[in-house]
Amino acid sequence: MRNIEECQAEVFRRSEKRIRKRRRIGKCILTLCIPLSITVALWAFAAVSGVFPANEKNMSAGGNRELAGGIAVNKEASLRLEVVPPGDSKQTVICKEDVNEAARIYDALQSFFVIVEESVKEHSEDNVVTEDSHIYANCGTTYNCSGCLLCRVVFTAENGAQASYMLSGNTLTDEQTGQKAILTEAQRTDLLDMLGLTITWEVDP
Amino acid sequence: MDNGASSYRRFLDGDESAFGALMEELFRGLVFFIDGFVHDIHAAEDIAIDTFSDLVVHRHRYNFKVSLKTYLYMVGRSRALDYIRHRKVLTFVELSQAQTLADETAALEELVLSDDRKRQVHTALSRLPEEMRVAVHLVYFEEMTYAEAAKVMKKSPKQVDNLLYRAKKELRIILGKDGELLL
Repeated sequence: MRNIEECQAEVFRRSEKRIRKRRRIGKCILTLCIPLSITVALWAFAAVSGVFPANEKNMSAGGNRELAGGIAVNKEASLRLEVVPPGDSKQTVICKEDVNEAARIYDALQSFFVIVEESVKEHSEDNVVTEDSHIYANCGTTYNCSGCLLCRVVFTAENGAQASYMLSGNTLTDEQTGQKAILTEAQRTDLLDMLGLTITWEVDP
Repeated sequence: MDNGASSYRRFLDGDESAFGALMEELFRGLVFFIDGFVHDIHAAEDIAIDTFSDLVVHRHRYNFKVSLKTYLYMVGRSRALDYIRHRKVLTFVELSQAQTLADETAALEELVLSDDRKRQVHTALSRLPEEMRVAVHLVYFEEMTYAEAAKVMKKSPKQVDNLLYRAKKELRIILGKDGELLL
């Protein structure tokens, strides 16, 4: 049996060892858990603020798109369609809650502006603005909006933010940027089909 | 006598030598108490060292609400029971080694129990069931109150009282007429 002094020395030796072990564990926690928790917190913040999709299923279905005004079309987004016939104070409102449908319409609307941008770029490169560019080539006559139905497409996101487009005759206007695109007959028909406006809204000249 | 609480308080205040006084006061008794469970003086010493080491590592775990002796015996008992639980295989020792161990235990017993009467009772205690033995050890040898012994044994004071009553009866049978005088 050891004497008391030896035992006391052993107590302090073991205590030192245990304290060192505890510190090492503490450091491990600091180096592993804190970055991990920060990552989780950032991810959670990003998910809440709509940067990342809420779930993968909706994302793969094309359910999450960023609109021009920073609006994400996710599962909570909806499409509000206002059809305003001129000369008629009665306004028809069609709401589309299907996210896939909203995303498809949004893609179609965006694609019209992309074509216009490309066209403008080509024009500036050539430094020549010609009427027969591939956008305007098939445009046909510019419609006079008088007597035409005005159609307003509004995307409303979960947080209440909106992106809206105005279709007047063949002219599609992004109301946020003021950008305009002249649609061909086929494009306009496709868009109206997508919007579910199969009514014959065109007024014969 | 505060069973080492003041020494420990001084140690917490930065007086390293106070820990020596604390060990001087309580270490042997704790080893002897733990040896009653593990029946191996070296293992008992090892467990007692770990128990005291707890006081250094976890400085604020002991809250001075019970006596330090009671706290140490509680921790020591838990550690001893853990040791028994984890010692899966029985170890065999050589006869010469066993003799050395027995001698060391006897030496410790002499150190802790200076009184011949107490030694006689302690020898008889080995024939009692463990709970009775622990209760008698704490109350008669360590001079703890029933409440303190109950805390160490994780029982109620009433249960300790019952254990002591039955232990006394058993000891009277074991020790014969002398037992009447010893208890």
